[in-house]
Amino acid sequence: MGWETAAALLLGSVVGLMLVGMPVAFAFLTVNIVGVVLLMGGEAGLLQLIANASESVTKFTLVPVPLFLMMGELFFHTGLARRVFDAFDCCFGRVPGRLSYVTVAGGTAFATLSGSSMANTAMLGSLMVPEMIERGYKKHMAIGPILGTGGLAMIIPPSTLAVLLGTLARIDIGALLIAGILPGLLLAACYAGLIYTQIRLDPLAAPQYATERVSLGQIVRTVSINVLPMSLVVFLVIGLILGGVVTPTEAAAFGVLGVVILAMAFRCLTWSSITKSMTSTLSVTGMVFMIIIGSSTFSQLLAFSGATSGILSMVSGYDATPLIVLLSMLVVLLFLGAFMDQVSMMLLTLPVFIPLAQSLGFDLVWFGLLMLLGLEVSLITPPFGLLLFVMMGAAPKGTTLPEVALAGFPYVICTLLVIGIVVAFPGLALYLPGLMG
Amino acid sequence: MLSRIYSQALQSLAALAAALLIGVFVAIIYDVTIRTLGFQPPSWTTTMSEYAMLYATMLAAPWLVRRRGHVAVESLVLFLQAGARCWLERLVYMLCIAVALLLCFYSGELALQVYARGELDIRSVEAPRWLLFAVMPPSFFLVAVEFGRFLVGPESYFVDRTQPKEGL
Repeated sequence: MGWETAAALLLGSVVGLMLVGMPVAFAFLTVNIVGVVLLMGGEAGLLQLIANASESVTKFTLVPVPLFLMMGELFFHTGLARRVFDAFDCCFGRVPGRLSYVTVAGGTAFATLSGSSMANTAMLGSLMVPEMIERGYKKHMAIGPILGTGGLAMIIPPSTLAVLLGTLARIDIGALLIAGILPGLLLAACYAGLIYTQIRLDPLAAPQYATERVSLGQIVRTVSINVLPMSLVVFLVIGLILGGVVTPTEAAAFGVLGVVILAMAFRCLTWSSITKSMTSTLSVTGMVFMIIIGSSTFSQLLAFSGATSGILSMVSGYDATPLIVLLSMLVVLLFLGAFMDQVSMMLLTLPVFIPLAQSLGFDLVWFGLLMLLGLEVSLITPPFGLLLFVMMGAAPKGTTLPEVALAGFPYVICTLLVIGIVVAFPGLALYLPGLMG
Repeated sequence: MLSRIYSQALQSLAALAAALLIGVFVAIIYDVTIRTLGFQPPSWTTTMSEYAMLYATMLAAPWLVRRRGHVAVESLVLFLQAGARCWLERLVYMLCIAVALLLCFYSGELALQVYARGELDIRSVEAPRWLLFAVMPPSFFLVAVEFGRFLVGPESYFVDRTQPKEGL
């Protein structure tokens, strides 16, 4: 069997099974079982598949995944997130479009404490949409900032997806996490600029309304009580990794500890908040790790069948510039993201993308960050971008999918712009990792 | 009655998985604290954390099937007419059951083989290698049972995607 046939069969079967609704982990497992029987020889291949599966998740580098999730869930379910939003709400006074700005500021702050874009979007949707609609905001001003800011959790540390990408692609996880800080903040600034422009063009999109006048003293007091303590947790996670004091896994554990201490200090650590947080943490961890278990032999099959080396030779045979190859990889991500979740996309593409990136001499931290940005865009790409559906659940009744997708479109452009900037100026991603101790 | 006991067993396995994750958090904090205080950190924390990732995943797997928590691309299924959708769903459930039962069998066989050979898994501490596979047969068996419930029962694994679902 030629490598072209093997590649088409392996990749096509996984995508095909996913499309008919098979849970992703089981789609990978089915193809792997057939693949090892045909290519690696019957029972021995199946036993190897089991051994690979158990090895795939027994890795210390994966430990931050549940811990970052736990941190974000505790932050949300204990009500600490609400406090941060209330503080930002107080700060923005009577600025036109204040609630859209609050969404971006609060969502960015939550992204520094949560590793999950789905959780970020769901939280922003449930907190902000009802009030924005009540205040007469047009749908695109309510939905758009949430779609854009929701995805920031994937870029700004602690990003669970960055930990997964680092582990699966063998990229320095600490460096990849830190690399997301500047591009993430730049993205948040672009979103704020976009909101400003939208309101300038159509002031009625976010009508002004009377708010209680808040004194400077009150603002300082609210921020000191509700925002500054949260920065302790951010310091624990980002500062300790940046300073090279602890590993990302240890930083994640201290992040959880920080949130627990804060929740206890604010007297909001209840049994109910703990059980809800652990239920969500376990659900996402179990789902993600099962996909990793399922796909553990897939890259071996691609390599064993000659598909990986075949694709690499084909790409080098085209004599395309590294930039064209990079753009092609990002286009593939955007295409896959239209109907697939990020973990599946990563597992499907990494076996080919990483050797390709290495052969082209790309810095893997820079490339990993570009992949994360590409994955973020793909989440809000119609027809099936996952955040569009999360948003549909929080949007007012009668909102259609095209309306949600259209609201997210300017934010897609912003992210593509930031991707362009990071491609042109790699230092934006690599400067902070270069400072790591 | 039997169904209730079985459901509680699934819940208990999930609770055990969650407890393992909390255990990992506590172990890492303990490890770093001991190290910072200048004492010799325990060598078991790394291995324990690594094994906990596998055990938490496998213990939660059947519970996740019941909660429809294993991510699937529902788009096509939900667009189909009722009849075609029913057949496609059955096909998917049967494939999942077959995969889970096959893995249940072979993971059991591998666990027995490495146990008989007395193999060790050498990490920060040595552990009997069969521990890496022992959790898989019961877990995959229960996963097959859970997909079986969707196959013969009235419920569907595929739900409206606008309902909030957990994910990264």
